[in-house]
Amino acid sequence: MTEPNSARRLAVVGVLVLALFAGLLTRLWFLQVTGGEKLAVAAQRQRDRFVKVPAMRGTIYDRNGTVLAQTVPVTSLTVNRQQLSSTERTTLETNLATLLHKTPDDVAKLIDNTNYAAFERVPVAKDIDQATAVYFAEHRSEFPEVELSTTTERRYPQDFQAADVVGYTGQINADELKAHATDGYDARDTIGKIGVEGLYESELRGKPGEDKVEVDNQGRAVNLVPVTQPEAGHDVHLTVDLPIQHVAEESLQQGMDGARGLVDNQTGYFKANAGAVVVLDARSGAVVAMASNPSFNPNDFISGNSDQYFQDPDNPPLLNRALNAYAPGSTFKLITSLAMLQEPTVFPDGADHTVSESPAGCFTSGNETDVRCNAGKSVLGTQSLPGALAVSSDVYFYSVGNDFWNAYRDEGTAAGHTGVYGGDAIPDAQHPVGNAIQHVAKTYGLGESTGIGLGGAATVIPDHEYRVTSNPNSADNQIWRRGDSESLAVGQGDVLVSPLQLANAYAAFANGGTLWQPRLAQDVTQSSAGLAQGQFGAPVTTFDPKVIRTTGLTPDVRSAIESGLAGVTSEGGTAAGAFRDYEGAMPVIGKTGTAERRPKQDTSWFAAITNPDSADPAAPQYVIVAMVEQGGFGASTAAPIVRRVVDFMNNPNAELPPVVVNPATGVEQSN
Amino acid sequence: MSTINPNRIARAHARRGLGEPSRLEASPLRHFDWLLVGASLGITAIGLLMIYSTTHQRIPGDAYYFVKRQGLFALIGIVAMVVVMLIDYKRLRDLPMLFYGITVFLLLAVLAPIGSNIKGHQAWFQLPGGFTLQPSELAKFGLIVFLAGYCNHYRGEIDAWRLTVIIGLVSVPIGLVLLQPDLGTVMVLAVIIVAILAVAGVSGKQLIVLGLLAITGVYAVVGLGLLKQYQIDRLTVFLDPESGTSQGTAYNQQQSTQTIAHGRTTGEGFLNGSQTQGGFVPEQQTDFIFTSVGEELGFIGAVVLLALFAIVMWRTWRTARLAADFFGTLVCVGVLAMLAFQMFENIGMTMGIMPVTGIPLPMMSYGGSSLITTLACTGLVANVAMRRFD
Repeated sequence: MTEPNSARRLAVVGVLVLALFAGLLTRLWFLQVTGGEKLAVAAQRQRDRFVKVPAMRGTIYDRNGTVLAQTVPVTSLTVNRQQLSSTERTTLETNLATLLHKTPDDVAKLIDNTNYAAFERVPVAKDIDQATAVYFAEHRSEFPEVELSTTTERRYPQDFQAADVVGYTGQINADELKAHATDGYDARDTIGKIGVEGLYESELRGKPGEDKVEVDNQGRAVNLVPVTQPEAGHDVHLTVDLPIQHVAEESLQQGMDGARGLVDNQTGYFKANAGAVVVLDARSGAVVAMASNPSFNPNDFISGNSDQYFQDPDNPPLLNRALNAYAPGSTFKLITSLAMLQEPTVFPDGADHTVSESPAGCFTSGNETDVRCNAGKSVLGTQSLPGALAVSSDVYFYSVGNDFWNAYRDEGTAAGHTGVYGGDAIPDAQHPVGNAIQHVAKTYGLGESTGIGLGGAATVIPDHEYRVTSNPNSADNQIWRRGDSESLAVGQGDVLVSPLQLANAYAAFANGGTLWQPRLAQDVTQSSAGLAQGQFGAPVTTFDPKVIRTTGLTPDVRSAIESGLAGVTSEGGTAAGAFRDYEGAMPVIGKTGTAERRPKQDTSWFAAITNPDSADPAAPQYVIVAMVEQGGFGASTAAPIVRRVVDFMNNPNAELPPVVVNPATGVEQSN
Repeated sequence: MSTINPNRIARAHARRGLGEPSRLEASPLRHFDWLLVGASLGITAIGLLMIYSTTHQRIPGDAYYFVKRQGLFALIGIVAMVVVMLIDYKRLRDLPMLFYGITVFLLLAVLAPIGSNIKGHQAWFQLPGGFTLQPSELAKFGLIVFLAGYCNHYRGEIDAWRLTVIIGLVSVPIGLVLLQPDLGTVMVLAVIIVAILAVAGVSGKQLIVLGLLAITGVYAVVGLGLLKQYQIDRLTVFLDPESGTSQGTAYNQQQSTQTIAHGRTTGEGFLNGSQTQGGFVPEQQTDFIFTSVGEELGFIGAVVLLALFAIVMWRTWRTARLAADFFGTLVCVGVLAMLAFQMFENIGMTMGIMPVTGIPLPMMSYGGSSLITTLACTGLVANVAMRRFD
C-alpha cells in the first residue's frame, strides 16, 4: 500500500538489497571458489615472526597397554594482555584471583609471564573445571579480554604408581637448554625431567610445528599463517607390568610399615625410611617392576604442588632407590661363591670346601686378636658352601675372603715385593686370583652402569686402586688389608651396589651366565592419537634384548650355588620363615642380606630367583630384589616383601594377604 | 492501496486453490506466510548447528551448554513471534510515542548502575541464571514501530520542520546507544531510520542532507572521543590496513577471512573445520558465526544460508508492497533495512569487505536479545502479511 513515490522508493530499496546480496555472493565466490588461495599479503611494515606450535607429547604405556602418562586437551583461560587497559587489568586481577582462589599478585605474575610474546594469548588458568568455566561464561563482563581456550596438559592416570619409572615433565631449565642446545628447544618448552619421560624425551617429544605470525612495527599480530604442522610424539611401550608394579609397591609399603614395628637392640624401632623392589626378567633384562619408596605423584609437578617433595633432603622422594648405592651385605655372597668356585687353585675342594668356627660362632684370622663373628655370634657349625649360603654363615665367607687375601699377598711376593702388604705393590691386572671377587663382581655388572639410562648413584667394587683414589692423602687408608678382603666377601666395607645392579647380577647367574642390559622399554610406536582405544600406531623401533657380556658361568658352578640358594628358602634356611607354606607354581630360591651401615640401622635385602633350574620358556625366570633402608634383617623385612610379590606373580587372581614381617625362621637370625 | 492490482490477488489465490478471496470469511491465518516464517526458523536452526560446532569443546563436560541456551532463546523468540503475530499490528499504529518512551527508558536504565559492563560496553542487564538482556537489540524493534507509526501519522506532511523533529526524537536513543558505546547498533538504527524516512516520502534533497548529517555525526563522535580507541582503530584499519593502529582487529579479520577461504566449494564438513575446531576465530559463536558456515559447509552451504536470508527479505519486501496500510509498509521497510544491513555488514565483515563492528548475524549469532528481537520482527512482518486484505 504505497503512493507512487513510496512505491518507487520501495523498489529502490529492493534493488539495493539485491545489490547487497550480489556483493556478498561475489566476494564469497572469489574467496571460496576461484580465488582466496593466497590472501592479501599484509602490509610492508610487517615483519614475520615464527611461533613454535608444540607437538602432542607421546603416550607411555605399560606392557599391557595401560596408560601411564598421556597428554590430553584441557580447557584453559587465556588473556589477551595487550588489549587490557589499566583499569580493566585491575578488575581482571581481582576477579580472577577470586575465581581461581589465588591472590591478585599471583594472577598478575601469570599475566606477565615473560615466556609469551606481547601478541600471544597468555594462559592464566589451565585445566579449569566445569563450574569455573560456567561461572566464567556467565560473568564475561568481570573478565575483560579473557577467553576459554583449549591447551594440552600431561596427565599421569596411575598417580603414585610407577612414578619413579615414568618420571614427570616440566618447563625446561637453563642446564637442560644448554644440554639440548642443538635440539631446537626454547625457554617455554616442556621437557621430560626424570624416569622414562626424560630417557625417551626424543621419542616422546614429537616435532613442533611452526606458525608464521606477521606483526606490525609495534609487535602486534596482524596475521597468522601455519608454516608446518606439528608432528605428534611417538608412544613408548614399557616392559613394566603395572599390576606387578602395583603389588611390588604395595608390598614394599607394607614391609616398611611392618619393619617400623620391629625393634633393633641398640637403636630402638627400625626407621625403615626408604626401600626399593626390582623385578627383572632374567632371560631378557626387561624390567617388569621397579618400585621406590618414598615416591611422588607426577601430577603434582604438573599442577605446581611439587614443593612437598623437596621438604626432606635426608630422605628425598624423588630419589629412585632402585638406582641408589647400598652395601649389599650377604646378598653379595653369590659373587664370593662364584669367585671361590672359579679358583680351584685356592679352593681345590670347590663347593665341598669346609670352614669350622673357632671360637664357636667366630672366625680368627692372621693373628689371635683379629676375630670376626657371625651376626649375634650365632653358632652355625662347620659348613660347606651350600650350607654356608643357606644359613648365611659369615664365618665361612670371612674365611674365603681371608684365603683370597692370602693369594693377593702371595701374588705380590711372587712378583718380588716383600712385606705383608706386598700385594699392593702390583696393579690389579696382576692379581688374577687375589682380586677374583672384584673381577667376578664387575663381570656380573656390579659397580658399573647398568645401561638402563636413568642415572643413579655411583657404585663401588673396592680394591687397593680404589683406596688410593679415594684416600689420596692417607697412606694408611690406601692399604688393602686382610680385613678388607674379608669384609668384601660378606658384602661389607666399601662395596656399594644398586638394587637394580644386584638384580641383574642374580639374573646373569640364574640364566646361566648372560648379563643382559636392563631395559624399560620394549618398543616405540607412532602416536595413537586418533586411533580407537586399545589400538596403537605403526611400530617405529623395537628394543631387542641386549647382551652386555657372558660371564663364563659353568653348569657345575651354577648348580652348586643354586643348591645353596635353594637352602635359603627351605626349612633351616634364613628365609625359611618367609617362604613357609609356599605353594606357588614357580620354585623360588634366594639370598637374604643384612648390611651394617653404622650409625644407621641395618639395610634389609632379599634377592630371589624363580624357576631357577628351568630353561622352559613357559616357566618364566624372574629375579626379584627387595631392599629396605634401616629395615633390619633381610629375613624379617625384605624376604616377606619378595614372598608377597612372588605369590602375586604365581597367581594374580588369588587372595593376597598383606606382608607379615619378622616371620619365625626356625633358625637363629643371621645375616 | 491504490497500487494493488486486484487481479494479482485473484491469481495468487487461484494458485493456492483458495478460489476467489472472500474478505468476510477470511481468518488472517489463512494468509499466513509459511515461506517467511519457515526460512527464518531454518536460519535459526542452522545457527544452532553452527553454535554447537563452534562451542562444543568450550565448556568441559557440557558440549551443549551454548546450544541449550540458544535453544531456549529460540523458544522464547518463537513465543515472542507468535504473540507479535496474533495482535493485529494496526493496534500498534497509533501508539508510536509509547514505543518511543519504552525504548528510551530501557536505554537510559542500562546506562545506570543496574546495567552491567561487558568488554567495555555498558549495554547489558544481568538477569538471574547468568542470562543477560541487551536493550539496544530491543531498541531496534521499538524504533521501527515508533518511526513507522510516527511517519504514518504525518504521512505527506514530512517537511523540513517535521524532519527536524524526527531527527531530534531519534537522536535521543541513538545518543544513548553511542554512550554504551555500541557503534554497530547505532549504524543499524541509522540505516533503519533512513530507509523508513525514504519510503515515507522524505524528499531527495532532505535525504542528501540527512546523509551529510550522518557523516558529520560520525566525525563528531570520533572527534569528541566518545569512541574507544579500538573502535576507531577498527574503522581506520578497514579504511587503511597499513595503518599502524591495527591491534588485534585486522588479525581477527584476517583469521576469519582465511577461515572462510579455507572452506572452498564444498566445505571441510560439519565439526571438521580445522580453523573452527581449533578455535582460531575469536568470538566465533557470536559475531563471526558465518566463518564456521564458510569453513565447514563451504560455498554451497553459504549460498544456501544466503538463499534463506534472501527468502526472508523477499517476503518482507513483498509484504511491504502488499501491506493493507502505509504503517504496515513502513514497518516492513524498517525490518527489511535492519535484516539486510546486519546481514551485509556482518558477513561482509567476516570476509574483509566491511569494517569490524559488533553487529550480530540475524538469527544465527549466539545471543538471546538479538535472536528474540529478530524473531519478533519477523512476527511483525508475518502479522502485516496475513492481514494484508483487511
